[in-house]
Amino acid sequence: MDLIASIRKTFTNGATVQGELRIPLEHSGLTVLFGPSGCGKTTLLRCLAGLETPDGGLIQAGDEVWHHPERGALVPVAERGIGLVFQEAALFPHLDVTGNLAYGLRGWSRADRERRVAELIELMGLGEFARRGARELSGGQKQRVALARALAPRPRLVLLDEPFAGLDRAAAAQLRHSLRQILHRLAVPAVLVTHNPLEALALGDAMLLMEEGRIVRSGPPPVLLAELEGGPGETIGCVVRTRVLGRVEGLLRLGAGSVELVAPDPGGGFQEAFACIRGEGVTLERGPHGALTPRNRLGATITALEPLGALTRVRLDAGFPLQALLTTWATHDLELAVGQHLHALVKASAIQVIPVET
Amino acid sequence: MDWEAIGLSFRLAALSVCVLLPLGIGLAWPLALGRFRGRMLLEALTGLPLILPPTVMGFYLIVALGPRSPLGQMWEQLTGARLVFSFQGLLLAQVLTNLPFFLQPLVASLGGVDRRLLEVAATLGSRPLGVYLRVALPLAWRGLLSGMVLSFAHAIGEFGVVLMVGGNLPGRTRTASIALFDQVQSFDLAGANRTALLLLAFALAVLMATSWLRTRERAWT
Repeated sequence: MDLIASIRKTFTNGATVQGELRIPLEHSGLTVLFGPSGCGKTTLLRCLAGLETPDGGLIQAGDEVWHHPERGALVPVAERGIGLVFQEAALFPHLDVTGNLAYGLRGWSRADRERRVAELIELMGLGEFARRGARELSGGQKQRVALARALAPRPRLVLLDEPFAGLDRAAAAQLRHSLRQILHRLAVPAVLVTHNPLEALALGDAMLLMEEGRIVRSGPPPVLLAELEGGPGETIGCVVRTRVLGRVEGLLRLGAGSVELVAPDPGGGFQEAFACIRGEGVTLERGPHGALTPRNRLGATITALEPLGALTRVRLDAGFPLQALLTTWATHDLELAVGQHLHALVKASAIQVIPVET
Repeated sequence: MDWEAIGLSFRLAALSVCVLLPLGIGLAWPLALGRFRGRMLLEALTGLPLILPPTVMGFYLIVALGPRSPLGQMWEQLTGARLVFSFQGLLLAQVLTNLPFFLQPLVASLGGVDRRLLEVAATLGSRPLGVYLRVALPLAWRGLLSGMVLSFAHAIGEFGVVLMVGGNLPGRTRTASIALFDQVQSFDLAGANRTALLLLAFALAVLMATSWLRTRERAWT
């Protein structure tokens, strides 16, 4: 069973948000709704939840029609079975953690309710906070409670609207790490709204790319993210999925096919990771070894040369797609041409390692 | 001091608040959170007693409660007594006159509740009434308390409407402010002074209490 939505919403200022999406409801899986701030991601999410009424379009979960193009909203928010987590946890300040978790369990028997709350408190590691009020919790703890509260009534789908955006790096990393495990364990599918490519890469099974109010592309996160256009420093670069071969002195040895890369270790016991390589961290070398360290020296073939004014993007095949961003002068000095074989030197510090959350 | 009149004032004010609680809570819901046509009309109607001259209010109430009005006739058939110039008639008049004093702080407080909390409550399965009673109202409790205090205090002091609808029957409709009026009319200035001072001290205490509640509300959010 899938949630199928085709949504159009026009605001009084003329801005229009529209998109078609299909989210599987049968098994856990995380769909990332990705795009810059203000591109309409949150509006789309609010339409799915029923908090915003679309001007047109169809929203359907299996055979159940939630919003009909002519007949309007047919199923109110309360009956959609959708859990929602905002950027700010939005916990009920008049209830403690237990009260927040039990809010959506009205109509359950007392015993079932208590069991469910206890189960979530344990799963989220909230044991010592069970009787604390919302204001006595840190940002990360609040967001855990908000997630647990959304999951408590066994929703069919959870919508996460930038849930990590308000957290410090450590808390965000911790929550990101547990999020996938929890969703998987409870077998709940989720939609994550984010403008952070690293989150999309670490968590997403599928990705929808939004631009200016429209869903423009969909596909696996590494593929879509690597295709994102942008100047130096704006994109995450090429994305390669790698296995961890070893850890030495704060560095990781990563294997991608027959190629080996060395990169800084972000910490954590992961076994697989995405290596994101920015074009500005890749230099090209013709002929024999220079004085440079032989690590991260990859044999590569030029597949395309794309002039970008003063810079040129050189697309390479190094066993995986790779890009180098050079000054156009340098490309002339090196006499680069498509089909040429050479060596790509990747600075270890230019590789960002994103653990694959499993 | 006319303790009978003072006692009657407090009893009347307390009962008014008891009636205002369910009525005001019911009306504050659409006023604060509703999106419907006619909301402005409802807002104006419930706020009318604030600016309407008490005599105008009193006049319409006499007409509406009088023995020839449908309400007055129905009351007479049910109880055998008249509604005008009775304690019950006075209570009804007090409720309507003091409605805005109850509603305004409550509606303002409800308006300040974070909308996302209400939205989250809806996604957790609460119907609109459940969202109101389980989330919005508990979070607006200071506004509710302010409304209760203000409407109680105003009911103690109401003069014009009480005089027109209730008259001046000792033990039945003669309230403290009417007793004060009587004391001044009969040149009992010492007695008037005592009654006035008591009402002044009460009003001052009430205003201080509500302003304290308001500062606490800011600290809460």
